[in-house]
Amino acid sequence: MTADADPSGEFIQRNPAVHPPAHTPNYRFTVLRSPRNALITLHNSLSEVTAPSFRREDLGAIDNDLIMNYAKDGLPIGERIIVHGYVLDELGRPVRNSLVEVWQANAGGRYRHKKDQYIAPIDPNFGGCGRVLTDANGYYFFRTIKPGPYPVRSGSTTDWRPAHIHFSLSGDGWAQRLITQMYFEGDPLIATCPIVQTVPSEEQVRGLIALQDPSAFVTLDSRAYRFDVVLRGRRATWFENRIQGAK
Amino acid sequence: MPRQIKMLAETASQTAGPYVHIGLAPQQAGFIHLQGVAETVFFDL
Repeated sequence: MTADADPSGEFIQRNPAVHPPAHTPNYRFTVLRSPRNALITLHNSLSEVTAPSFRREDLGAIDNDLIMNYAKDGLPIGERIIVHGYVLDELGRPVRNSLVEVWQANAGGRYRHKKDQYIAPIDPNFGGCGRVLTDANGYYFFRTIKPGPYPVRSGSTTDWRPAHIHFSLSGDGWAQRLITQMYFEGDPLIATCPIVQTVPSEEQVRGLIALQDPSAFVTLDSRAYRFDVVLRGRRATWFENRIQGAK
Repeated sequence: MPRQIKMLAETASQTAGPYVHIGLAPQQAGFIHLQGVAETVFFDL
């Protein structure tokens, strides 16, 4: 049994050692995005410790079914998979009602986006984006088509991005928000991907790789992958000599 | 005696990094330039 986080508590300091450095030229977008100035650590204010709350009624009934949510006159092509897992904070507490947004390429490695000119075709029955709220245990799941790898230019050479799904997770406060990517167990492209390589810790890279989960396979339908996510935790509230709610 | 609390490691960020989030004031963060960034943020390879 875990105690609920104090909703007004400040978030634990982020550990920069487990995140990519802001400026990593091999991941070219970071050149545009990285700050030039040294960062200043401030106390959390209301704008960091709070966040919009999302209601189940705000989401469509099949928002977490990427196989069906853009299907027109057929089903999308590719391997049918389920992705599921728990969203926890750093103290192991479930993060409830976290909005989990996902977007990805189709089975051929093509995004449904006007700037994607890769030769692989667009799948008319696949949009490649969806969303789901975590439940009372921090659990989420969605159904989709396994995305394909795709090439990206890297100077005069070409890199191949491993198959991946983009994740954006909200939490109880904006300071908890996390944008990351999920990779698939066994993909040989993970080891050579310049974006994956920006993560300094091998253990953290392993945390970005979803493991195949046969226990959640759907017979004659879908395989499953398990992907747990840890968001920043709030500082615990102490009651006398113990954390409030702890026995 | 303070109790040891076991911590889980926060999942590493990818794509935008920890510094870009809704509400960020780009000039304060010292972005090198902003021309065209908005067009490329979504389509992140």
